Amino acid sequence: MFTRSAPTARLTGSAESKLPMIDLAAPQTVETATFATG
Amino acid sequence: MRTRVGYAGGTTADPTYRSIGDHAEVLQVDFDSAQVSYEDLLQVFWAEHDPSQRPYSTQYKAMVLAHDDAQYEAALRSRQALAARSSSPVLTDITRLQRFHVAEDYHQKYALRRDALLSAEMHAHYPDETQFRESTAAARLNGYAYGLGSVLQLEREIHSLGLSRRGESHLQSLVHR
Repeated sequence: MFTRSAPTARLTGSAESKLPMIDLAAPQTVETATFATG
Repeated sequence: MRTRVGYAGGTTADPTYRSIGDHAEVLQVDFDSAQVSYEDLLQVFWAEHDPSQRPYSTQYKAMVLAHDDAQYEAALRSRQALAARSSSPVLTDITRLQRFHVAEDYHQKYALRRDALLSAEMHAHYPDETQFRESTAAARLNGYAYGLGSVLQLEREIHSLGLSRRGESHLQSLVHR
């Protein structure tokens, strides 16, 4: 497990405000999982 | 949540779709462990494949590729629990992830790419393919384009996906059908 800082926190300017809001709400704690499902 | 597809589990250097070597096709998920647990993802994983089937090729082999000790042990526990309540053998491998090789751009968000309108709107936000691949909105839209997700889920998040009114209307028509 590792913690990743919000990569899009800087995207607050008006020119960037149309970016998906869901992408601007970066999670505090990110874990990565990898699966092969066949 | 972010997703990407790639190749892992083998030793071949620099695999590609056309030259995958001894790797399998894999899905990688970044998730907020405050919202969803690794154990939750394991439950989805077991439900998404038939663990009693032997793989007919390495490319399409099912396996868990654990990132650390905690994931490895959680995966072993979940496989043991499944085996205990299953009448069939559980053949799915659990291994350590050595290296993940990201797949070519045209494999990323495959269902979303096949929807011209939604793909164009997301690519307008993210002309860079790495940003497109790593977008949570693109991952959500890819799921809806694939036929996953519910009307209720869509209602909760539709205005957070960065779509135009036309794009939102199109997405609603996909999910409601």
